Amino acid sequence: MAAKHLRDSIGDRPLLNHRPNDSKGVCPQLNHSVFVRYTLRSLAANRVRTAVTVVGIALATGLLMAVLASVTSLQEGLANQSRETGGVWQVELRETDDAELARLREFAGARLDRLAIRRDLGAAPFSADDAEHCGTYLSVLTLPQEQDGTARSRGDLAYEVIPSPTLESGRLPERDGEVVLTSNLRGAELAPGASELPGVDAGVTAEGPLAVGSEVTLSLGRRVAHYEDGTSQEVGAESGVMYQSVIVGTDPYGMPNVEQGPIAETLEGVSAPQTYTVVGFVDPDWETPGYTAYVSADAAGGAAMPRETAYFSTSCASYEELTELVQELRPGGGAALNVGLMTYEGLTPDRLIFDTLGMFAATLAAVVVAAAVSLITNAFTISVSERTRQFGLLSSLGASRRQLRHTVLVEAAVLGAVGIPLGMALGLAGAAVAFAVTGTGWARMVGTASEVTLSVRPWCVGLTVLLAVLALLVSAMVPAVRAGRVSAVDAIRSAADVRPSRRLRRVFRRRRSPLDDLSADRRRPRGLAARLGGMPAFLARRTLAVSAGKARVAVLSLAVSVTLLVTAGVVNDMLSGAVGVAYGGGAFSYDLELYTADDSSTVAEGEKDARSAVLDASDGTLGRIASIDGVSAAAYVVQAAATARLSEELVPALPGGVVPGSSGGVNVSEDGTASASVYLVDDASWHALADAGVVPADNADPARLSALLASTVNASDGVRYGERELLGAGTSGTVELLALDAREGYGDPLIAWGDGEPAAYYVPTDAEDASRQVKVPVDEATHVAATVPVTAVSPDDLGEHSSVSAAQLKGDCPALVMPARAVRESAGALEALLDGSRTPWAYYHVRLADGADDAEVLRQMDDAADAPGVESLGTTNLLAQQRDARAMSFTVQVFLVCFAAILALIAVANVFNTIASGMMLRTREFAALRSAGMGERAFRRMILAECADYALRGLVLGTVLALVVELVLWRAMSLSVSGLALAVPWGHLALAFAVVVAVLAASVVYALRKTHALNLVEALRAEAL
Amino acid sequence: MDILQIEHLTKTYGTGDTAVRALDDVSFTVAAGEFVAIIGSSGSGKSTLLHMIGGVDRPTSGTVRLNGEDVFQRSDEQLAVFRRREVGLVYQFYNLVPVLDVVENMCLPVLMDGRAVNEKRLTNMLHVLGLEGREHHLPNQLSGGQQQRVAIGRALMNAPAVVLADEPTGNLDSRNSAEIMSLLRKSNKELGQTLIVITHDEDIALTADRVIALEDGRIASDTRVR
Repeated sequence: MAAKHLRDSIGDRPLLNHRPNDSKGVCPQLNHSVFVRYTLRSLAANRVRTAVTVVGIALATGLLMAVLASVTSLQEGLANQSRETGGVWQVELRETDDAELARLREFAGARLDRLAIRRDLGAAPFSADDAEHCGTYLSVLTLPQEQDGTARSRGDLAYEVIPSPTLESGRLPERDGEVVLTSNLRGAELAPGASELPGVDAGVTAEGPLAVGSEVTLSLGRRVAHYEDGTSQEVGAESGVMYQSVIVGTDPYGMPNVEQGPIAETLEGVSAPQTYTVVGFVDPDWETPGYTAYVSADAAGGAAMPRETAYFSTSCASYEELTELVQELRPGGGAALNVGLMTYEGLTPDRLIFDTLGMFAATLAAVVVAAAVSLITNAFTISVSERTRQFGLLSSLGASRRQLRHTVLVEAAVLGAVGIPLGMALGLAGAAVAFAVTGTGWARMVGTASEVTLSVRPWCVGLTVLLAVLALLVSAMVPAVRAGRVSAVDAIRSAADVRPSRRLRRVFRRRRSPLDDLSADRRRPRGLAARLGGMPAFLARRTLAVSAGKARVAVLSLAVSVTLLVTAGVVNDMLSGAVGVAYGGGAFSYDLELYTADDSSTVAEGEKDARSAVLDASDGTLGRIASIDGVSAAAYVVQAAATARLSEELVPALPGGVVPGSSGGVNVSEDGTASASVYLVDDASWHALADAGVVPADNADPARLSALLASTVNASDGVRYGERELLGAGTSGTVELLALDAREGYGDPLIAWGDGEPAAYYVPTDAEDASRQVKVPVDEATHVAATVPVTAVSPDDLGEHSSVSAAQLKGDCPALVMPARAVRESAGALEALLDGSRTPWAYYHVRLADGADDAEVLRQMDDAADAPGVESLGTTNLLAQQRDARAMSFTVQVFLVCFAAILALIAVANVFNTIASGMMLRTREFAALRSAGMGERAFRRMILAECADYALRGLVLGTVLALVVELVLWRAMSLSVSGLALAVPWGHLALAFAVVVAVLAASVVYALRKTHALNLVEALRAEAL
Repeated sequence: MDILQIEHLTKTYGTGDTAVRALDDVSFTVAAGEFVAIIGSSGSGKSTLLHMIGGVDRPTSGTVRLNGEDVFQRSDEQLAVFRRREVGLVYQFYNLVPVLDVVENMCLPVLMDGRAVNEKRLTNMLHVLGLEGREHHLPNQLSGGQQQRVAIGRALMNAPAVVLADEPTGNLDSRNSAEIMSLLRKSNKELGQTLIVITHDEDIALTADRVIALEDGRIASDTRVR
């Protein structure tokens, strides 16, 4: 190799009397190492630039590493989420047996990593009475049992092969005869009797309400579905055929996964009743038909022919290898793959998620590599032009082009050898810190319970090194080639890199007389710059004109910095803006919500009288909730509905295209007949509305029956959906609340809309078909139960003072707001609001005091809602949602800010290298100017003028680029989030300007210090080689 | 009349063990219109002496008086004014400003001083220096000899009290060397320009009125040639 060098440099001629044979020892080696040493010394001589370049390479490599590591960590987070909820299994073999498992062990050999078996003991039907709230069947599965004798080498032992159910209370069954039930069965009292299955008695029986310690007796059988063509198929968890209900007739519920639906179902192989002790309750699992009970792994009994399912994972390296194994095992198919997990593990050919993340990573990586290439190219270009004379000298001494190129590439190798490992370490450390800080946020996004931690795969380390080395090579290649082209002549000529630009040549060509260079008074050079700023400005301008290329590089690096800084800020704003849009609370911003309704069983059984339990309990419940520790404010709104007739002045003029009963929430006909939403608020809220002047003074007493009517509605006119004002705020009138009349022989009537008119429909109680239902105009089917004075108000005014949200009020027309107290005390209003099968829901809203424990308050609210005939339906923890949203947006911002900051650092390094080196190259020129009598002040003004020019052009270009980027980002964001404002980011621009100008100033000060540090005498002496 | 008085000029570089005494108690005077050659081996202190006279470097001790005024009593800013008005410097490696053309380089000291360029002197100078037709070339478009002529033009343009030339022919061939020296002599003879030239070349030294030989920072001999 070295000998080849020598031949390249001197051709095939022997050099002097040098005999090739002698060269084998010292000479070529010396030749080679001389260039390496030369390179190292050049780097040492320019310590600061070398350091900046190494830092630049390290930052770029680090960023690349961090981006890739973040992506793999996220992928790992998703995979862990999948492992946590679904287990680590790759293949599921339903209806397997010992023979097949033996074959599996034989085929897979050491590749079989983990194996677990779960058995399906069959299903027991509930009695027809219980089926209503317990489901048709209770399916019984054993807990999965992991088998021995597998490799268990994939490092996923923290997760189960297939997860056991999540315990809610008690413990999991440990021996035969123990069972856990789903939590919805807790407290249920099971009645014996016939099941929904013709001719089969209930297979689940127990004494008293179900609790830990109860005994439950199960008769387990196997569900078989029968088809029209005479075939039949087993139904159940382990057969893969799922029907949640008993199949009777041709209209099965659930998911018909056979071409033709089954026509009937039987229960076969029913076992003798066996008694189990309930040891715990678990969260319901929706996978199996009906609810599932779990027994211990070794439980005996169950229906005849219990079914086994095997779940296993392998150490197969590819999807192909795995499918081949499965194919070998079950040539006919019938094995399911855990595609979700395998996708996150990057094993499936369907890499949708992988591609999304991959594209994300590729885009970021591309930006980083581009920034890095720009930085490194600049650094090398400067390094080479600085040493033009040296290369010329080396060339005159006989260095070949190849050798000169080599010195630059050796330089690149040295910088890379330091910068790349440093960058990898920095990137990994940085990503680890970022994940440590934001792991919770990622976990929320990914949906896993545990935090997302840094996870690095070998391929991403390899890819980082490869990309970094490639970027380095590409960046160094152009300057290296240029170094090779330096001729010996360049070593002799001074100022070789100063060539007049085409424009300057044209200017000079036009000048004839020597005096053309001077202004009319001969006191100044010609030109605007000299007229405005004297000699310093003239010199600055000329420098920029002559070395336009260098100026462009400097301007571009400044502009890129500005763009990156502004973009970082803008993206930050947009993301926080988007989070604000998505999670911004209403006017009455509450933290927690609990909602209740009348107990469905009492409602269904027609036990309710003319009163609503929810409405009766509301004030008491609110009082209990308000007294909970940590509650700073509480309010309720009871949501009900009524048929009503608006007085003439309140009938809205509907815009064209809005059809009552079908356009959004507009349910009022031209004569004022309406299906109204009614919101009943607590006393304090009503008082607050009165104090704010929303409720007229006459109606301020919440015991007086009155109502407010929302004046606007969100509705579609068939073309566009939008907010429409239907009434002038302040319009007053009355509304008649109508109660439906009962008809003998018919059930409760229903109000339905057709052709823009409502009508009452009566269905006979003993009707076999709906064709005998009676349609009656509203007038004839109702009587006026109460007449209420009404004032129209804007929903936005209302929302500010009560817990009824403006959005809710705008959702329906007409929407009435009334004091709950007055309604409760008015028999007529109650009759109208509670007729038919209407059940009001009550929403309790709570604002928390600082530092209150939201989960605890929510628990106590649930207890406080306990009232006769009232059922608590659910809760919303807005605080937790906001916390999650904040965690997510914080996470995104941390990563974004880090990314932008590092990119900006790269840009800053670029600016520093370009500006500082450009100045330092002109040491001699500066010395010449000063020896010719240029004072310090004039000199500073000249430098200032040059920098001002760079800065001005850089900032203008940067601003334009940043605005373009902002526009593009805004458009992209607007696709998914509305309401984002587009504005010139003055703050970010100002900040970016300040940063860039500061870096520019620092670079110049550094460079001038350095040139001044050189003795003026030394600088003049000349050939600083 | 002595235009230049140098008294006990000493310059030390570095400190302690590494201190080098480049000039050691040098004193001499130069009369107006005199042409002095300074010779000496490398490291004898010739260039240091020239830079002191030119106000480019400050001495460790001693004084330099030009037209009776102490050069180093001036501030750095005043020293810059001194350099552009009172002295003209010519270097071995020309040291032209690479971004300025010939005329701009020549007029640089005048323009930096904010004075009007003497048109007659400029055209005359361009003629004498043989730079006609090259007025609007940048330095890198000129040969070495031409660049040195521009440097001489720049030094003479302001009619300084003294022209200081540091090996002005050191980088040129014999034909160009002869031309440059004849130009400098011509300025001395015809314009009465005081001239101090550092040189290695004995032939050049012998064309001067007086030859001062430096040795280890001291004056070894001071010989009047004619």
